[in-house]
Amino acid sequence: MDWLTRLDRRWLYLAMAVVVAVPFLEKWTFPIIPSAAARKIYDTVEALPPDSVVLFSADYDPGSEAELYPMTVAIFEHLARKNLRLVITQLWPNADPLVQEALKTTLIPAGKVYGKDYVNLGYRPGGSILISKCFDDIPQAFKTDKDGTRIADIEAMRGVGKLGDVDLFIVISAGTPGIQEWVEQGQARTGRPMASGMTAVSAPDFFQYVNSNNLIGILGGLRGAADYEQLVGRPGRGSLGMAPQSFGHLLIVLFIVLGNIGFLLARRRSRRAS
Amino acid sequence: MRRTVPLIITFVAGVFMIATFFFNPDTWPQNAATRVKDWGLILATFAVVLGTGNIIRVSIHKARKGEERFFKIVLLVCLFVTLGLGLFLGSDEEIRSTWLNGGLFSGSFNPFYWIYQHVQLPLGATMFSLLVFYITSAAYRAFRIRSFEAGILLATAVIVMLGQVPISSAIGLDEVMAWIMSVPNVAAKRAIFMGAAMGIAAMSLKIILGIERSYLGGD
Repeated sequence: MDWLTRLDRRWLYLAMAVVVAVPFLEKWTFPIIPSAAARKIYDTVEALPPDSVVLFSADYDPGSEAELYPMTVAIFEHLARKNLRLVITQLWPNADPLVQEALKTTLIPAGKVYGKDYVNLGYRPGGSILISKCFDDIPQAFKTDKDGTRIADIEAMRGVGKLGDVDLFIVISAGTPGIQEWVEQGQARTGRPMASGMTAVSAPDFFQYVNSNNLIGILGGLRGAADYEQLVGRPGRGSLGMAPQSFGHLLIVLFIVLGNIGFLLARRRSRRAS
Repeated sequence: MRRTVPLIITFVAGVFMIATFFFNPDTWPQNAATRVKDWGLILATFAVVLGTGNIIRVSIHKARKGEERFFKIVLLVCLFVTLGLGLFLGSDEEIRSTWLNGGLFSGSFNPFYWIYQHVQLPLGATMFSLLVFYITSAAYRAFRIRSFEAGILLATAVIVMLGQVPISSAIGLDEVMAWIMSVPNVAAKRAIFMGAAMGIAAMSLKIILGIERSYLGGD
């Protein structure tokens, strides 16, 4: 069993590459039962009357596209079906092309009209200062949408003067500025419901906001995206990613077990020798 | 004078911004606070310019000294090409710049968008994906049951990891993971957050009162 302690790491890399690549290329799928957290977000959106205002902040960039873009698509799909008014903001400068791609596969094919049914206010710097400013006055904070149209001239922004006029916040974020800033400056000050999605690795940071009812639910990583895709009945990249992720996680668990068997055997041997 | 004036400005601005929370909307303190937030936004925008200027200055300096010259030149070329294309052509898939609308580039292919989709996006995904190999190696070599506490940590990690995949629902791990996340995790996180929040409040107070002056530079 000596090989367990001397195993070349390249074998580990190869094994991981194979168990991720094969299910991915073969498009294997698993049955997915959506989590309670995802269902809460879904039910909240379902309960909104038509023409309610949803503020969606895309606060991520290509680095976390694999986890957060499928979430964005699934949520946009749901909002489009429910005929809700969508106001998109971005606190990260590199999110916009991802938002545009998501719109092209959801709201635009559903016949939603830019400026009437949804509006993209684009990126603005400032993070929490910007959100605080939006709390007082959104048109003052953004002045125009992404294309330079004055906010006063945009039909989708009618009656949306400040954050308190928003019916639901949805923030998909990969870090700072993101969910924490929206909770502190937006949700907590307005009392409006807020849902969020984040990378799996940062999800543990935000469960405290669920417990304190600042967040109605969270979508953590690709599993969160897959859950929401199942709920809206549109399996996409999140659902397809569950097989490679499952095998990858199981392999890591196997490696942890093997690594510890090797460690315990080596320790017993050294104790006997001494 | 160079230190006294900034200290006075900091004190007045700090006390004023705290005080505005005690006034109703549409009163003059609230309106003034809104104006101060505008200044904050303008400063944040300038920080982007400052950051870009700084990376250009540092990269040119290093390239001149011969330190990683090739990489610094690549960085500067990529920065100026992307910046130039974005400034002149906009960030949409098709060029809709008001400057060029109806002109030579109107409605045509935007190289800035192409760079984003075909360079930045795959590079970002690649960097993130590489983590899986480091995690695999670390899981095998470093995750050892050296003590009882390490054993608990390991068991928790395995449950949380399996909780991220559909099999967890089938073997009843979903609820166990939800409990770990909602109870022990929140207890620890909340303690850390509260400690950090009190630290921020104390530091802010020290800055407002002029006790902490390191932000002014110098000694």
